[in-house]
Amino acid sequence: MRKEVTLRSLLFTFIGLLILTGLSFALSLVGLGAWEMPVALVIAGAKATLVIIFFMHLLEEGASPLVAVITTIFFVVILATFVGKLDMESRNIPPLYPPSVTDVPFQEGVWPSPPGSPRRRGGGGD
Amino acid sequence: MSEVEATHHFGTFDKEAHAGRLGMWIFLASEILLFTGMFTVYTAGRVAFPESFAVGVTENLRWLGTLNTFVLITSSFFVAAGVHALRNHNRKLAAWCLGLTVFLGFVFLLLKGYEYADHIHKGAVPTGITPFYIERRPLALKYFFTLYYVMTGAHAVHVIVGMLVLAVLLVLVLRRRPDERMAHRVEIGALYWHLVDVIWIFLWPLFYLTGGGH
Repeated sequence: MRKEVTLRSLLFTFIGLLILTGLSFALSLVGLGAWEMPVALVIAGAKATLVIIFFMHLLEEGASPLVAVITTIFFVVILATFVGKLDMESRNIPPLYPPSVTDVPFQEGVWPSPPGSPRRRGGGGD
Repeated sequence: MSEVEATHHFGTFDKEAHAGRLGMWIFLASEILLFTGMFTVYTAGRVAFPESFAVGVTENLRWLGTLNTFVLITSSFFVAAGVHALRNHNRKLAAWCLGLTVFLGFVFLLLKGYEYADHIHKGAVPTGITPFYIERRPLALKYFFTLYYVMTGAHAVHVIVGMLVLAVLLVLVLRRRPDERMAHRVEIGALYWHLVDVIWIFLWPLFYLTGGGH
């Protein structure tokens, strides 16, 4: 017989999610600098955990769905952290445009060029 | 042991339901991995062009993203409550919960549509060079907005599919006698809706909250 998630625990989960959402929103207004993204993601992770355990009834399940969940989290972390962040941080990425381009005021239909260089019409891609 | 008749090769309905739930969990895992590819591209973009992405976040409507988060979380609660009601043979409450979930999904899409229209009106479109991109430095903003449309668009498609699934289940709940098989079906559909919620829980901070406190 499966252990059932009660209506009471569903309600508490819902209230917890609302509080965490409010907290995340409030912190975004404060501006935590370098901590902004990690804190936002930790709160998001806590919310996702609540949803998965209680709303999705993982608490009631045996080991097999848990294996699927853990494997998924493992690959999410591997891809986003190693490929998305660590690899990119180790590269020397040139700027898209020379800094002088950003000093040129905008003109409709004219793609900004560094001061002194001839202007071309129509623009180009990134 | 359940009294509902099982498909013969499972032997019992409990085994059949377990297999169904496990299949759904594996499907949801594959869906998460689909989004993981996009999250990885987002992370790479954020590392390469941090200022552009921070500016991009401030261009999104934070109040709208937050409101949509509350809408999806509430809908997730209703669908979980609907499963609970159906397990306790409360068909009327289950139908109300499913109906409210579909309605909230519709509200989510309306708000998202409003935001898309606002962006398109401003010129923040996924392709081409518009005054919006030229006026605002840095110029990797277009990269941010392309990702914004792809990721939130893929999520919106999942919302639509989830709404259709739940709408069909709502009709079944209204028409048929609620039994364990019905509760199981609704539980499977609800799992999909919760996935939609979980994905949005991560999209929200990435696209609306992390703009450097602006």
